[in-house]
Amino acid sequence: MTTLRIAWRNLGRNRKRSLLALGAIALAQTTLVFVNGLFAGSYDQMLQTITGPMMGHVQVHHPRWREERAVDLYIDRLDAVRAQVGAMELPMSVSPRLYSAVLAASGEKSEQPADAEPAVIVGVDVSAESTRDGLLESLEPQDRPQGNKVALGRVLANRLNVSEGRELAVIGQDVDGFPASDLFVIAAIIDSPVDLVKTRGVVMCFHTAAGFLAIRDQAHEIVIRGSKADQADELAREVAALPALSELEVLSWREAMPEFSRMIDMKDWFDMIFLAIVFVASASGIANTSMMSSFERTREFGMLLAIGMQPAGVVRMVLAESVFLGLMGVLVGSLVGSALVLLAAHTGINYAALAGMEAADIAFGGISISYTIYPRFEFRHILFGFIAVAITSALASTWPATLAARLEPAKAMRL
Amino acid sequence: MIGRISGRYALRSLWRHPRRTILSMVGVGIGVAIGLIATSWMRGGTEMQIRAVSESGAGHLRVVPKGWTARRENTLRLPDAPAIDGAVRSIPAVELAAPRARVNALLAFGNRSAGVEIVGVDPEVEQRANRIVFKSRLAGRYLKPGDQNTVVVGRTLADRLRVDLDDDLYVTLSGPDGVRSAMLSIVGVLSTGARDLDAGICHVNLEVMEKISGYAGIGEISILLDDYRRIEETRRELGRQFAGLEVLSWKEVNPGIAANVEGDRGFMRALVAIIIVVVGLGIVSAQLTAVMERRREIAVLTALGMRARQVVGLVVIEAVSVALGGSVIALCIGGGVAHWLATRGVDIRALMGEEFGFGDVLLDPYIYGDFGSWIVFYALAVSVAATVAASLYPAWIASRVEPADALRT
Repeated sequence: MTTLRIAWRNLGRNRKRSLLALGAIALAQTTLVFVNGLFAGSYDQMLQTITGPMMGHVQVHHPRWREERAVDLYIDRLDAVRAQVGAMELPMSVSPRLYSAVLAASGEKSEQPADAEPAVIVGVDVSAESTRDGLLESLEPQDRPQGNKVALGRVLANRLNVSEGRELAVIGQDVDGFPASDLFVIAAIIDSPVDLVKTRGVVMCFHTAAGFLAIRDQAHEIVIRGSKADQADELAREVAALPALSELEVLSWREAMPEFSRMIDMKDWFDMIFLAIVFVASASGIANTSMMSSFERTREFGMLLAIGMQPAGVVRMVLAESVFLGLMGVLVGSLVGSALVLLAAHTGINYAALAGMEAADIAFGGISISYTIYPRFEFRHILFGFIAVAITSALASTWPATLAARLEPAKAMRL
Repeated sequence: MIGRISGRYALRSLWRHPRRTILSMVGVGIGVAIGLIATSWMRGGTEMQIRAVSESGAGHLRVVPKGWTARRENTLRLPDAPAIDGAVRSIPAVELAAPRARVNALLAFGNRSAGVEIVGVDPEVEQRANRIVFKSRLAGRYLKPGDQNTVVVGRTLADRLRVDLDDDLYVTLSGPDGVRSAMLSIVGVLSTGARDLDAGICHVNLEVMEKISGYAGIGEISILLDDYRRIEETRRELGRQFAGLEVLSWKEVNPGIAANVEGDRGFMRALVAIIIVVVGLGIVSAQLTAVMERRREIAVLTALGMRARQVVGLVVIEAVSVALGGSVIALCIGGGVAHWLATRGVDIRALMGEEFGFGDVLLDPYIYGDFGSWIVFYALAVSVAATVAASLYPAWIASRVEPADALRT
C-alpha cells in the first residue's frame, strides 16, 4: 500500500512527463481499439453477407452446378427434398432458388435502338427471402416480386436506364434449349451486397421463373439457414445424410467459400499483428520515458537504499509507478477508443470517402463489399491493450530499477 | 561564432547522457522504420494494383466517345477512330494503344446459354496489352488478323456452355436494327485461374465485331504508358487534342479498385502519422527532461549574453542530431525489411485464396515492396520533421528560463 502511495506521489512530481507518457499510451490504445473495431466491423459485414443473402448457412446443388451453372443442372424432385429437410428437428428455413442467364432490355418503345445487357434471372421463394438475412430483406411488402413484377439490381437498372414501374424485356432459353422471352414490370430496384444480384439480377418469384424456364418441381439451389453460422458444418453433415439428397452436393458456407472462411479465421492474426506494430512503436516511446525517469533517479534510489529500503522494495516502487501510469493511459485510451467505435458504429465510416473517392463498394469473390464500415466494439481489444501495456511498462522500468537496486547505496548516491 | 558554440554545446550535452540519447534515437528509429516499411509495402501494393487494372483492359488512360461516363453504354463508337489512333500513338509516353469495341450478347450452345460482354480486339496489340491474354494458359490459339467468325472464350465460360475448341457458338445480341444473331467458331480457350474472370472472357476480331453487331468502328482506345506516374500529364495532352471526346484514367474506368487503393493509402498514412506522434511524445518527454535538468546551465548561458533565439537553436540542434541518429537506425531496420519485401515479395494467395480476380481485374499473386532512393529521403525527412516538431515545446520552455530565478534555486 505504501509502495503504491509513493508511486502515485512520484508520478505527480513530474506532471508534464507523466502526462506526455500517458498521452502516448492513450493514443496508441485509442488507435488499437478503433482500428480493430473497424476490422471486426468489416469482417462482420462480409460474414453477414455470405451467411445471409448470398449463401445461407448450407447450400444444396447438383454436383456440377457450381462449376457450370447451367440451367439443366438442377435438383430434381424438389418437393420431396424440401419435405425431408423441413422434417429435420433443427430450427431452420429452407428456400429454393432458380438461376438462368438471359439478355434484358428496356421494354419501353423508344427512338434509339434498345441496348440489351446480360442479366441473370434469380427465382426465389419470396416469403422466405423477405425475412431477416434474406435476399429481399430490404424491400417493402408492396415492392416484393410477385407474378410478373420483378426486382432489378441497381447496376443493371442503371445500365439499362430503367426505373421502377417500367417494363423489362427478357430473352433467354428454357431448360430444353428453346428460345424463351417475356415482359416483366419492374417493382423495385435493389442494392444487394450479393454482386450477382446487384450487377445482373432480375429477381422474380420462384413460380414465375419456373414458368419462364419450363421447369417443374426442380431448383438450382436450396439455401438452408440454421440458427448459428458457426454450426453450419454440422448442419451440412446432417442435411447431407438425408436419403433424398444422396446424389446432391451439400456444402456449408465455409466449404463453399474457403477463401472467405480463411480470411475470417485470419482476422485474429491481423489483430495480433496490428497490436504488435502499434505497441512496438509506442513501447519505444513509453520505454524511453520510463527508462529515462528511472535512470535519472539512481541517486534517489541510493538514498532510499541507504535509509534501509530493501532493493526489492525499490524495484517494486518503480514497477508500480510505471505500470500505474501505463494502465491509466490504457484506461483513457480505451474510453476514447470505445467512444469512437460506438459513435462510428452508429454513423458508419466511409472508407473510400476518407480518401476523397466516390465508389460505394468493391466486388470480390461474388460479394459486393461496401466501403461504409460499421465498426464493432469488442471487449478483448481493450484487454489486449491492457496486457500489452502492463508488460511493456513493467519491462521498461524494471531493468533500470534493478540496475539501481543492485548498486551500493553510497555509489548510487554519488552518480 | 555563437552559432558554432551552441552547436558544439548541443553535441556535448547529447554526449553527456549517451543512454538517453541512444534511447531517443532508437525510439525515433523504430517509429520511422515502421513508417518506412508500411510505405514500401503500400507503394508496392499500389503499383501492383495499378498495373493489374491497367493491363486487365482498363488501360492507364482510355479514350471514349462523349457521354460514355454518364451512360457506360457499350455500343457507343468513336468518330474517326483511325485519326485518334494515330494521334495517340504519336505521344511519346504511350507504349501501347489497344482499340476495342464491345457489345453485350447471349451465347448459346445446345440448351446452355450465358450472357457476356463480347470484346472486339486488334489481336496483335491485345496479346501485348492485355494480361488476361498474355498471362493466361491458352488452349488452341489466340485470334489472328483476318480471322473470319472466330472467337476466343474463357475456360469457365466454355465449361458452362459445355463447349470446347472448334465448337460453334450461337450468338444473340441487340444491334442498331433489332435482334441479330451469328455463329462463331471457338479457336482458343483462355484460363487465368480466376473462375469469375474466366466466365466473362469472349474476344473476337474488330472486323468480326462490326459484322456481328452492326455497329461500325471502335468504342475505345485503351492506352498503356511507359510509366503510370505520367498519367496526369498525358491525360492533359490528350484532353487538349480531343476536345470532343472523353479521356478517362483507370480510376474512372474502375472506381472500385481506385477507392481501394486510395482508401488503403489514406489508412496507412493515418496509422503511420499516429505512430510517429506516439514516438514524438516520447521525444518531447526526453527533451523536456534534458532541458529541465540543465536550467542552471541555460541560465548561466543566458546571463552571459546568449539570446533566446540561440537557446531555441541549441535545443533544435540537439533534436536534429537525434533525428540523424534515428534515421540511420530507421534505414538499417526499415531499409533492410523494405529490401527484403522488394526482393522476396509477399505471396498474397495466403490472404486472398487461389483466385486473384478482383471483379474483372487479374491481380498478381505477389506484392513486392518498393525499394529505392526515396527511402533515404523519407527516413531523413520524417525523423527530422518529427523530432524537430517534438523539440519545439521543450525549446520554448528553455528559452523562457529566467537567469536570476533559475540560478537562485
